[in-house]
Amino acid sequence: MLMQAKGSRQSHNCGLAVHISSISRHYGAVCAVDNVSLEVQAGEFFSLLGPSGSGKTTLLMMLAGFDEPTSGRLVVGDRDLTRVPANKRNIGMVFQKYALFPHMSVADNIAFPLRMRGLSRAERDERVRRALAMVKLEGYDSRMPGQLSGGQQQRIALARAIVFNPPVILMDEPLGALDKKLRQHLQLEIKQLQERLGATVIYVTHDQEEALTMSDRIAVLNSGKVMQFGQPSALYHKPANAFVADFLGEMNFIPGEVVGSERDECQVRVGAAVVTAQAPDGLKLQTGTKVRIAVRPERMSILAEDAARERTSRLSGHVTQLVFNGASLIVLVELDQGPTVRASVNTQSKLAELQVGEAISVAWSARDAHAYPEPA
Amino acid sequence: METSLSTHDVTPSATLEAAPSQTDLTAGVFSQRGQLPAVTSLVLIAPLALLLGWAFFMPIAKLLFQSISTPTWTLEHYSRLIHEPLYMRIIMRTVLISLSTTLAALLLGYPIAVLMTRAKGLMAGLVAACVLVPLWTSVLVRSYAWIVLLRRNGIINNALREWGLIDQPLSLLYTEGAVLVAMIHVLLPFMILPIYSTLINISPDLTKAALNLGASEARAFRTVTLPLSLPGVFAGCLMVFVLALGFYITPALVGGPRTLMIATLISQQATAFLNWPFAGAISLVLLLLSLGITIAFKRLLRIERMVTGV
Repeated sequence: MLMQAKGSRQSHNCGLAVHISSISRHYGAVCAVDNVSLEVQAGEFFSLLGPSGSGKTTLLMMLAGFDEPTSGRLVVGDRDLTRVPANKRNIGMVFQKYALFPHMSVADNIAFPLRMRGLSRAERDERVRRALAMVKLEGYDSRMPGQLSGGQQQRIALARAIVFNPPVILMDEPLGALDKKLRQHLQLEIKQLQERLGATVIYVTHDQEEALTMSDRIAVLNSGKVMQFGQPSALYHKPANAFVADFLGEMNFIPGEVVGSERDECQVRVGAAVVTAQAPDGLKLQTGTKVRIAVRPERMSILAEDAARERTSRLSGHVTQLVFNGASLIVLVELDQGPTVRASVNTQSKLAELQVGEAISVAWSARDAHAYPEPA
Repeated sequence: METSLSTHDVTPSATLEAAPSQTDLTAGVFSQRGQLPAVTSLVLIAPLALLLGWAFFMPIAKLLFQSISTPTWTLEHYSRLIHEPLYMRIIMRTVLISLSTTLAALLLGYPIAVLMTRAKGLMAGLVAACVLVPLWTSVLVRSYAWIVLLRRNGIINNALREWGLIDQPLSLLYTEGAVLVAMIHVLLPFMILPIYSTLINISPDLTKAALNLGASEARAFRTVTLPLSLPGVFAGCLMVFVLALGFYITPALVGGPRTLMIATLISQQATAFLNWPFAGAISLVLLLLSLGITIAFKRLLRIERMVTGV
């Protein structure tokens, strides 16, 4: 469905699908990438998200051809690239530290891939002009990279990566070296550029907010394995495991024990109370299993102590801290069972008049809570 | 009344002035540009300046002064230098040998510098040792080592005779070839190290970017690595060339009278013939040659910088 929307927006779609099949990379005994398979669709903005050491960069380096997989296959479009050298892959790449050639002008930097492909001088000039216009840096042709700001340098690097119309563009934390404001600005720009070009983008980042904002789909990696992949909203609302639940956005975890389950819902005992949560897809939680219940702060509602007794998933506690952060009020609640949870409430609601020490209850509807088995 | 007032005024203002100047001093020490106040700088460089002035510049000035003032005001030593073909030949030979040494050191040294940046583990240690251990060994020892290798019944001649390749020992020592080989060997580290230090500072991402954009390994090297390493190449060439011009020990030991070079000539004139004014005249020529080359290289480097904008 998402792809159809994209197709209608982009008439001259030039992206190619990327098929990553069972790719592994071992360094001696260390396994950096562990049997990863991913299908990236043509024209898709696909993010590889994970903490450092999760194997996302190693995977990208193998896609670029700077590293060879120990096993597995990599196909772009219908061309097997597994053993093709980097300079014959025709894949664009944007580096974290820009990697502009410091001894060449902006125009020469952008023209570099065109020169390698033997294009005529006139053709090169025309394409460089168009690429500069696309990154909104017209007239910077004769500047040297050292004379540009970080944001401008990254735009030039972007222009250089798209000027030869590669069907796939790899980006290795391209905004990692920039400050927050500029980063958010460039996120939108990169996204718009990608939609205009229709190219497939594989974007590596450790910034979950960035991945959620920009991506059509995200693969969350941890210690060389894909933990989950799918659309940002699916990952956010239905995390497949505790790692993804914890890594994406803010999350409360409440430990408990399964006392009963029916279909995809289960009853979990927390202290003396029993609450309801969803079991992860395709996982039957046995009675007696130790679990962690995950609930997002914005899905956690706060109720006066005596209100709504009919709500099943309800835990009582008292307010320990109130943090005003502009858009919302963060309420820290110490539950009677021990753990402290965060709930975010609208500053306009009458809940904004809560007092520290006040006895309240937190509650959620069953579809907003997920129970993950504790690792044995 | 007025005078008493003014003296009364002066004392506090003087103490007030002393305080800000104190803070100025500390502010100067920690100023952003890292510049020290003039007085501190002078105090810091004074010992070296005095030593250099007394033990280096003064004798040179005296020597150079002698070359135009002995026995009376005269340019006869310089005209002798120019008009006697022997001396011009020695100067030309020195420049030629220095140029060849530089070129050979560049051709041999650049690949070694590249190897040093790429080698890993044991190999890296080995290559670094091969470059640095000779540098830490006395020039005298290294020159004598060449004598042991090259002399009539030296290691090379003996080996060739044993293998039956020659009947009569070759005269290897005291030739221009011997001087050249020994000088290249002695000066090679001065070429390798500056090149290595520029190469190691070129981000590996740049080569990756070039490959990614479609350049072959060779083309990536030619278009990216090589131009970015030129400052190191210039520094190495300058160092080797200037050192070679005034090189004394090695040419004096492995070169015979037939391969006399400037430095040897100067020492001969000064110590053997006690012709100090003439030695001074040759010294000035050597000094001017070195300075001229250095300035020319600096110019070249600045133009290079302008072009590359590094």
